[in-house]
Amino acid sequence: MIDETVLKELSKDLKINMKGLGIPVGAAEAFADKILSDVKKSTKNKKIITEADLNRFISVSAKKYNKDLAYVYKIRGKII
Amino acid sequence: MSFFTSLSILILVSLIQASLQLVPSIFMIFYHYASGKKSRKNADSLALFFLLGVETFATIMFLSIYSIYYSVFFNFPSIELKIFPWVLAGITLALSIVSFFFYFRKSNGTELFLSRKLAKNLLFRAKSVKTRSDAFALGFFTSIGELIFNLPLFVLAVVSINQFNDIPRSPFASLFIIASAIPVISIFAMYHAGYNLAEIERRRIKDKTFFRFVIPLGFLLLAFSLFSMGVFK
Repeated sequence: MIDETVLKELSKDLKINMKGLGIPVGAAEAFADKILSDVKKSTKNKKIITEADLNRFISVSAKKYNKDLAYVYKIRGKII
Repeated sequence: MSFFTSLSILILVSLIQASLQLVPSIFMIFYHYASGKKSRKNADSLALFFLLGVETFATIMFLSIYSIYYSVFFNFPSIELKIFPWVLAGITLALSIVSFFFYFRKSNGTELFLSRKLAKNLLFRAKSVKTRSDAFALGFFTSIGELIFNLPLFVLAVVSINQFNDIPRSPFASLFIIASAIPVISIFAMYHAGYNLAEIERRRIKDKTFFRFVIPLGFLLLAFSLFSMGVFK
Protein backbone atom coordinates (compact mmCIF):
# COMPACT_ATOMS: atom_id res chain seq x y z
CA MET A 1 0.00 0.00 0.00
CA ILE A 2 1.37 3.44 -0.89
CA ASP A 3 1.42 6.36 1.49
CA GLU A 4 -0.72 9.43 0.68
CA THR A 5 2.33 11.71 0.61
CA VAL A 6 3.99 9.41 -1.95
CA LEU A 7 0.82 9.50 -4.04
CA LYS A 8 0.81 13.30 -3.94
CA GLU A 9 4.46 13.34 -5.07
CA LEU A 10 3.68 10.88 -7.84
CA SER A 11 0.74 12.94 -9.01
CA LYS A 12 2.88 16.09 -9.08
CA ASP A 13 5.66 14.27 -10.96
CA LEU A 14 3.20 12.81 -13.47
CA LYS A 15 1.74 16.25 -14.19
CA ILE A 16 5.19 17.79 -14.65
CA ASN A 17 6.17 15.00 -17.03
CA MET A 18 2.93 15.33 -18.99
CA LYS A 19 3.32 19.10 -19.32
CA GLY A 20 6.91 18.52 -20.46
CA LEU A 21 5.63 16.12 -23.10
CA GLY A 22 3.13 18.70 -24.32
CA ILE A 23 -0.06 17.01 -23.02
CA PRO A 24 -2.78 19.63 -22.28
CA VAL A 25 -3.35 20.41 -18.57
CA GLY A 26 -6.96 19.09 -18.44
CA ALA A 27 -6.03 15.78 -20.06
CA ALA A 28 -2.93 15.55 -17.84
CA GLU A 29 -5.02 15.82 -14.66
CA ALA A 30 -7.48 13.18 -15.85
CA PHE A 31 -4.67 10.82 -16.90
CA ALA A 32 -2.82 11.34 -13.61
CA ASP A 33 -5.91 10.37 -11.58
CA LYS A 34 -6.51 7.25 -13.68
CA ILE A 35 -2.87 6.18 -13.60
CA LEU A 36 -2.66 6.68 -9.84
CA SER A 37 -5.77 4.61 -9.21
CA ASP A 38 -4.24 1.83 -11.35
CA VAL A 39 -1.00 2.08 -9.36
CA LYS A 40 -2.97 1.91 -6.09
CA LYS A 41 -4.64 -1.29 -7.27
CA SER A 42 -1.34 -2.83 -8.39
CA THR A 43 0.39 -2.10 -5.09
CA LYS A 44 -2.52 -3.02 -2.83
CA ASN A 45 -1.13 -6.34 -1.61
CA LYS A 46 2.56 -5.48 -1.78
CA LYS A 47 4.53 -4.99 1.41
CA ILE A 48 7.68 -3.62 -0.15
CA ILE A 49 7.52 -1.30 -3.15
CA THR A 50 10.69 0.01 -4.75
CA GLU A 51 11.05 3.08 -6.98
CA ALA A 52 11.64 0.77 -9.94
CA ASP A 53 8.35 -1.05 -9.16
CA LEU A 54 6.46 2.24 -9.10
CA ASN A 55 7.99 3.36 -12.41
CA ARG A 56 7.05 0.02 -13.96
CA PHE A 57 3.44 0.18 -12.71
CA ILE A 58 3.09 3.76 -13.96
CA SER A 59 4.60 2.85 -17.32
CA VAL A 60 2.21 -0.10 -17.76
CA SER A 61 -0.82 1.99 -16.80
CA ALA A 62 0.27 5.05 -18.84
CA LYS A 63 0.51 2.93 -21.99
CA LYS A 64 -3.30 3.04 -22.19
CA TYR A 65 -3.37 6.85 -22.31
CA ASN A 66 -0.12 8.08 -23.84
CA LYS A 67 2.75 6.06 -25.31
CA ASP A 68 5.37 8.79 -24.79
CA LEU A 69 4.51 9.10 -21.09
CA ALA A 70 4.78 5.32 -20.71
CA TYR A 71 8.17 5.42 -22.42
CA VAL A 72 9.44 8.24 -20.18
CA TYR A 73 8.68 6.13 -17.09
CA LYS A 74 10.09 3.00 -18.72
CA ILE A 75 13.49 4.61 -19.39
CA ARG A 76 13.66 6.46 -16.07
CA GLY A 77 17.18 6.31 -14.69
CA LYS A 78 18.49 4.75 -17.90
CA ILE A 79 19.24 7.97 -19.79
CA ILE A 80 22.66 8.75 -18.29
CA MET B 1 52.95 20.79 -38.84
CA SER B 2 51.30 22.54 -41.81
CA PHE B 3 48.25 24.76 -41.47
CA PHE B 4 45.93 22.21 -43.06
CA THR B 5 47.20 19.36 -40.87
CA SER B 6 46.64 21.44 -37.74
CA LEU B 7 43.22 22.50 -39.01
CA SER B 8 42.17 18.93 -39.74
CA ILE B 9 43.27 17.84 -36.24
CA LEU B 10 41.31 20.75 -34.78
CA ILE B 11 38.21 19.77 -36.79
CA LEU B 12 38.53 16.12 -35.68
CA VAL B 13 38.96 17.18 -32.05
CA SER B 14 35.85 19.40 -32.33
CA LEU B 15 33.85 16.55 -33.88
CA ILE B 16 34.79 14.16 -31.06
CA GLN B 17 33.97 16.87 -28.54
CA ALA B 18 30.55 17.34 -30.15
CA SER B 19 29.90 13.57 -30.11
CA LEU B 20 30.25 13.21 -26.34
CA GLN B 21 26.89 12.41 -24.77
CA LEU B 22 26.80 13.45 -21.12
CA VAL B 23 26.04 17.16 -21.54
CA PRO B 24 23.25 16.68 -24.15
CA SER B 25 21.68 13.90 -22.01
CA ILE B 26 21.58 16.10 -18.93
CA PHE B 27 20.29 19.03 -20.99
CA MET B 28 17.54 16.86 -22.43
CA ILE B 29 16.31 15.83 -18.96
CA PHE B 30 16.76 19.32 -17.54
CA TYR B 31 14.79 20.99 -20.34
CA HIS B 32 11.99 18.41 -20.14
CA TYR B 33 11.48 19.08 -16.42
CA ALA B 34 12.01 22.84 -16.78
CA SER B 35 9.28 23.06 -19.42
CA GLY B 36 7.08 20.80 -17.26
CA LYS B 37 7.39 23.10 -14.26
CA LYS B 38 7.59 26.51 -15.89
CA SER B 39 6.40 28.36 -18.98
CA ARG B 40 8.26 27.82 -22.25
CA LYS B 41 9.76 31.31 -21.97
CA ASN B 42 11.20 30.62 -18.51
CA ALA B 43 12.47 27.20 -19.58
CA ASP B 44 14.23 28.82 -22.55
CA SER B 45 15.83 31.37 -20.27
CA LEU B 46 17.09 28.55 -18.00
CA ALA B 47 18.35 26.68 -21.08
CA LEU B 48 20.34 29.75 -22.09
CA PHE B 49 22.05 29.79 -18.69
CA PHE B 50 22.76 26.05 -18.93
CA LEU B 51 24.42 26.75 -22.29
CA LEU B 52 26.38 29.62 -20.75
CA GLY B 53 27.61 27.23 -18.05
CA VAL B 54 28.81 24.74 -20.66
CA GLU B 55 30.53 27.49 -22.66
CA THR B 56 32.11 29.05 -19.56
CA PHE B 57 33.59 25.69 -18.64
CA ALA B 58 34.95 25.22 -22.18
CA THR B 59 36.42 28.74 -22.20
CA ILE B 60 38.05 28.38 -18.77
CA MET B 61 39.51 24.99 -19.71
CA PHE B 62 40.81 26.25 -23.03
CA LEU B 63 42.37 29.41 -21.59
CA SER B 64 43.88 27.56 -18.61
CA ILE B 65 45.53 24.94 -20.83
CA TYR B 66 46.64 27.66 -23.26
CA SER B 67 48.28 29.66 -20.48
CA ILE B 68 49.93 26.54 -18.99
CA TYR B 69 51.22 25.60 -22.46
CA TYR B 70 52.64 29.08 -23.00
CA SER B 71 54.16 29.40 -19.57
CA VAL B 72 55.90 26.04 -19.91
CA PHE B 73 57.26 26.70 -23.41
CA PHE B 74 58.25 30.34 -22.94
CA ASN B 75 59.49 30.38 -19.38
CA PHE B 76 61.42 27.13 -19.64
CA PRO B 77 62.64 26.97 -23.24
CA SER B 78 65.36 24.51 -22.30
CA ILE B 79 62.87 22.02 -20.84
CA GLU B 80 62.79 18.68 -22.64
CA LEU B 81 59.23 18.20 -23.87
CA LYS B 82 59.83 15.66 -26.60
CA ILE B 83 58.02 12.99 -24.66
CA PHE B 84 54.87 15.12 -24.13
CA PRO B 85 53.40 14.69 -27.65
CA TRP B 86 53.97 10.95 -27.52
CA VAL B 87 52.24 10.76 -24.16
CA LEU B 88 49.31 12.65 -25.66
CA ALA B 89 49.17 10.27 -28.63
CA GLY B 90 49.27 7.33 -26.20
CA ILE B 91 46.46 8.81 -24.13
CA THR B 92 44.23 9.27 -27.21
CA LEU B 93 44.93 5.66 -28.20
CA ALA B 94 44.02 4.51 -24.68
CA LEU B 95 40.86 6.64 -24.75
CA SER B 96 39.90 5.04 -28.03
CA ILE B 97 39.97 1.59 -26.40
CA VAL B 98 38.34 2.79 -23.18
CA SER B 99 35.54 4.63 -25.00
CA PHE B 100 34.78 1.57 -27.14
CA PHE B 101 34.35 -0.73 -24.16
CA PHE B 102 33.15 1.56 -21.39
CA TYR B 103 31.61 4.79 -22.75
CA PHE B 104 28.13 3.29 -23.03
CA ARG B 105 27.04 0.71 -20.48
CA LYS B 106 25.58 -2.55 -21.64
CA SER B 107 21.87 -1.83 -21.25
CA ASN B 108 18.87 -1.08 -23.43
CA GLY B 109 19.06 2.64 -22.58
CA THR B 110 21.81 5.18 -23.16
CA GLU B 111 23.50 4.75 -19.78
CA LEU B 112 27.02 6.17 -19.72
CA PHE B 113 30.28 5.27 -17.98
CA LEU B 114 29.52 7.41 -14.89
CA SER B 115 29.18 5.78 -11.49
CA ARG B 116 25.52 5.19 -10.68
CA LYS B 117 25.77 7.42 -7.61
CA LEU B 118 27.03 10.36 -9.68
CA ALA B 119 24.46 9.68 -12.40
CA LYS B 120 21.64 9.71 -9.80
CA ASN B 121 22.98 12.93 -8.33
CA LEU B 122 23.16 14.61 -11.75
CA LEU B 123 19.63 13.40 -12.55
CA PHE B 124 18.34 14.83 -9.28
CA ARG B 125 20.06 18.17 -9.98
CA ALA B 126 18.73 18.25 -13.55
CA LYS B 127 15.17 17.66 -12.31
CA SER B 128 15.29 20.24 -9.55
CA VAL B 129 16.70 23.29 -11.38
CA LYS B 130 14.74 26.34 -10.29
CA THR B 131 16.89 29.42 -10.86
CA ARG B 132 19.24 30.65 -13.57
CA SER B 133 22.25 30.14 -11.31
CA ASP B 134 21.19 26.48 -10.79
CA ALA B 135 21.01 26.05 -14.57
CA PHE B 136 24.41 27.71 -15.04
CA ALA B 137 26.00 25.52 -12.35
CA LEU B 138 24.41 22.40 -13.83
CA GLY B 139 25.85 23.19 -17.27
CA PHE B 140 29.26 23.93 -15.78
CA PHE B 141 29.52 20.91 -13.50
CA THR B 142 28.04 18.46 -16.00
CA SER B 143 30.94 19.29 -18.33
CA ILE B 144 33.35 18.36 -15.53
CA GLY B 145 31.79 14.89 -15.42
CA GLU B 146 33.28 14.12 -18.83
CA LEU B 147 36.70 15.57 -18.09
CA ILE B 148 38.46 12.25 -18.61
CA PHE B 149 37.48 12.42 -22.30
CA ASN B 150 37.49 16.22 -22.61
CA LEU B 151 40.88 17.07 -21.19
CA PRO B 152 43.08 15.50 -23.92
CA LEU B 153 40.79 17.09 -26.52
CA PHE B 154 41.33 20.54 -25.02
CA VAL B 155 45.10 19.97 -24.90
CA LEU B 156 45.15 18.85 -28.54
CA ALA B 157 43.03 21.83 -29.58
CA VAL B 158 45.46 24.21 -27.84
CA VAL B 159 48.46 22.52 -29.43
CA SER B 160 46.99 22.50 -32.94
CA ILE B 161 45.80 26.13 -32.71
CA ASN B 162 49.29 27.03 -31.52
CA GLN B 163 50.69 25.77 -34.84
CA PHE B 164 48.90 28.57 -36.76
CA ASN B 165 51.79 30.97 -37.10
CA ASP B 166 50.78 33.59 -39.67
CA ILE B 167 47.07 33.79 -39.05
CA PRO B 168 45.06 35.00 -36.05
CA ARG B 169 44.34 32.15 -33.63
CA SER B 170 41.41 33.56 -31.69
CA PRO B 171 38.72 32.82 -34.35
CA PHE B 172 39.76 29.15 -34.36
CA ALA B 173 39.78 29.06 -30.56
CA SER B 174 36.28 30.60 -30.52
CA LEU B 175 35.03 28.09 -33.08
CA PHE B 176 36.38 25.20 -31.01
CA ILE B 177 34.70 26.54 -27.86
CA ILE B 178 31.41 27.07 -29.71
CA ALA B 179 31.62 23.51 -31.14
CA SER B 180 31.25 22.10 -27.62
CA ALA B 181 27.77 23.65 -27.45
CA ILE B 182 26.52 22.16 -30.74
CA PRO B 183 24.91 19.05 -29.15
CA VAL B 184 23.03 21.18 -26.61
CA ILE B 185 21.87 23.59 -29.31
CA SER B 186 20.69 20.71 -31.50
CA ILE B 187 18.66 19.16 -28.63
CA PHE B 188 17.20 22.62 -27.91
CA ALA B 189 16.29 22.99 -31.61
CA MET B 190 14.64 19.55 -31.55
CA TYR B 191 12.47 20.55 -28.57
CA HIS B 192 11.45 23.69 -30.45
CA ALA B 193 10.72 21.68 -33.59
CA GLY B 194 8.07 19.78 -31.61
CA TYR B 195 10.01 16.74 -30.39
CA ASN B 196 9.60 15.64 -26.77
CA LEU B 197 11.84 13.73 -24.34
CA ALA B 198 10.52 10.32 -25.40
CA GLU B 199 11.03 10.98 -29.12
CA ILE B 200 14.53 12.40 -28.63
CA GLU B 201 15.56 9.49 -26.39
CA ARG B 202 14.22 6.96 -28.92
CA ARG B 203 16.44 8.63 -31.54
CA ARG B 204 19.43 8.58 -29.21
CA ILE B 205 18.95 4.87 -28.57
CA LYS B 206 18.85 4.34 -32.34
CA ASP B 207 22.07 6.36 -32.72
CA LYS B 208 23.81 4.66 -29.78
CA THR B 209 25.59 2.07 -31.95
CA PHE B 210 26.75 4.84 -34.28
CA PHE B 211 28.25 6.83 -31.40
CA ARG B 212 29.69 3.66 -29.85
CA PHE B 213 31.87 3.36 -32.97
CA VAL B 214 32.33 7.02 -33.92
CA ILE B 215 33.83 8.20 -30.61
CA PRO B 216 36.51 5.45 -30.41
CA LEU B 217 37.17 5.79 -34.14
CA GLY B 218 37.71 9.54 -33.72
CA PHE B 219 40.20 8.96 -30.90
CA LEU B 220 41.89 6.22 -32.91
CA LEU B 221 42.24 8.49 -35.97
CA LEU B 222 43.64 11.19 -33.74
CA ALA B 223 46.17 8.81 -32.18
CA PHE B 224 47.29 7.43 -35.53
CA SER B 225 47.59 10.83 -37.15
CA LEU B 226 49.70 12.02 -34.20
CA PHE B 227 51.91 8.91 -34.35
CA SER B 228 52.28 9.03 -38.13
CA MET B 229 53.26 12.69 -38.17
CA GLY B 230 55.97 12.04 -35.64
CA VAL B 231 53.73 14.15 -33.49
CA PHE B 232 53.61 17.94 -34.05
CA LYS B 233 57.18 19.17 -34.42
